[in-house]
Amino acid sequence: MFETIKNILIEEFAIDADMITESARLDTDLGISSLDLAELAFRCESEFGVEIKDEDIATLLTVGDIANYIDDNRQ
Amino acid sequence: MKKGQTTHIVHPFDTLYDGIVKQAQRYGDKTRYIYTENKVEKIFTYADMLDHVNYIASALHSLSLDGKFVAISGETHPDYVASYLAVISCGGVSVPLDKDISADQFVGFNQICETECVIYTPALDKKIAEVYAQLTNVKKFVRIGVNPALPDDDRFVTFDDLLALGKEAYEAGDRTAENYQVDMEKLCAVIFTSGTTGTSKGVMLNQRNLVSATLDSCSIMGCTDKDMYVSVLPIHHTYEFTCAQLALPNTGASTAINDSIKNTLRNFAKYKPTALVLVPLYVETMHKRIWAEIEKKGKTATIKRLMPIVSKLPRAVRRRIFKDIIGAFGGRLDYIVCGGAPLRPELMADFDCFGIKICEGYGITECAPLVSANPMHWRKYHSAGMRVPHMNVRIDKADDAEKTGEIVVSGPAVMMGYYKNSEATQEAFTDDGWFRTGDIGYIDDDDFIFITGRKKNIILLSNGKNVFPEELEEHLGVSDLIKEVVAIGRKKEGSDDVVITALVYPDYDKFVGKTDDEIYTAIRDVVDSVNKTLPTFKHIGAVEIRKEEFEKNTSRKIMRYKIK
Repeated sequence: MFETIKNILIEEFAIDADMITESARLDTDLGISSLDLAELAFRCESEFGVEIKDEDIATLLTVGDIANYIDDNRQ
Repeated sequence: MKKGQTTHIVHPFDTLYDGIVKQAQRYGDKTRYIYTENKVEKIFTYADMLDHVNYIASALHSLSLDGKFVAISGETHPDYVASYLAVISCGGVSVPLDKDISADQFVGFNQICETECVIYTPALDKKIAEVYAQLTNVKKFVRIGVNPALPDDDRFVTFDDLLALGKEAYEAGDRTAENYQVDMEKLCAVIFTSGTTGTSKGVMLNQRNLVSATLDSCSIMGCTDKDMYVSVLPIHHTYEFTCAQLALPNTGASTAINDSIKNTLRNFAKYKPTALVLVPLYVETMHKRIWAEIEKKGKTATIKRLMPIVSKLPRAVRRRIFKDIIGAFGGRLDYIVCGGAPLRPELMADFDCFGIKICEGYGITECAPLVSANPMHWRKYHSAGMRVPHMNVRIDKADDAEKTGEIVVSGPAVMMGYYKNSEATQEAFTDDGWFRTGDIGYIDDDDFIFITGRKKNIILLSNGKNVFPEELEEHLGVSDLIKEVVAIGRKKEGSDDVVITALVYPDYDKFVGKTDDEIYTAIRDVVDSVNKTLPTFKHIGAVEIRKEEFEKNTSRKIMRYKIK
């Protein structure tokens, strides 16, 4: 799953692959704004079939947080 | 003759209710809102708005809640706007609360205003369930939207029930809104600026403020009934409420409500807006997406080579050349009104070249909020534009030799003062009654205003939100690992993006024998746990660890102005 999220980050936000680790912070390390994060959430929803609620987006601070959220909410 | 501020034809109105009546007469069954509820797309017309305002006002009267303070909170919804206007139209005071504030703040603001009714949308379900027992002064909680799961308390009603009650009263002859004798100078809205309940100030607005700011918005934007707009900004902000929810309907424009932040760009493509009211964060994101798409197609070098040549061509030609770019936002986007924070001039230049105009404006909640805007026909990069027709702007310099000074404002949109805070109100005005914006700047020979700095500590983000550093410092100060902390906004290198940064002087006694990395990690963990309790826009992005205490004045207060 991490690899898929990583690919989305590379494709959609042109982020350097080497910078994307599980502990990388989305805002300060990867330069993802809150709107980018919403777009990333949308892409992850389409990819994994898991709804990321608007109010939960704020709790996703690192790439690992997204992977964990999807894992926890998969049926 | 010197060129001046744009003044488009404006449909005049006297009071907010008068505006709603006249809009219903002019536009009737035309769509005022398109919105999505439970995955179903719905239409709300101009006539619906008048009916709703009449019914809600009559319902509030039936419940003896007319003339009272009513809190309204949640995501943008036609019933939210109708409630806001109905409360005012029967002599009450609307208190729009940010849906993302903490439960404590929500309770605090309601208690300060002694609200007797709370109207909320599904986004607030969880918060209301948590706090309603504490809000003993509230006689009715009204829940907007489908599928309400109301707490087991008699005070809760659905919005549909409230509307039905009002409709029945209205049809029986009640004309609460119609008969209400408006006093334009009477308090009609309290808007809390960001911060904790302790640091936040409730901006008091009256109908004179809101009506004049609305008419000024109409005169600078030049919208028409052919326009389509997508609403994306938080509705509790005066910028969105006045410029989009009050001004655009006065021109007959239709508004599609963005149903989720995740769908923003897709909703632009779907609803094909002709105009947008945005903050820099959105413009930055659109700009990034444009260049990412160009890059994907391998055309970056070609477009960059073309742009200097194309920018000299007429706008219609540019729009044809860049029709694919404009197409990503629906293909009809003509202009963007951008406010809340400064926008990078490079972005304006790029959008100009693509054939999309950006009109940058300047406002402040205390002015309901519009102070100035760049006229569409004459824009200056870096400038906050020219004053709007109803407002006056002056620069108060410490001495005549200075080029810059504090921007002070007067006019009918300037607030009445801060609610229950006469000390702050007194500080906010000059001796001759002008409002001190706290911004530093100058006005050039063409009457364009330029902002060069701020007097206050507020951190201004690219999403237009204000963050009060004191609030973040209060949260972080609770940790016994932190001895002193100051929150500041630091600009990212090579961009105008501001990152909220916590400068931390740890309690080194707690870290004996620990490495710098270990100290950083421990403090970062504290910051992350605080972030999880805050709305996204307040998240502290960076942490800098200090080896030395902050420099303090004689009363042991940190000298913030010395911090770099």
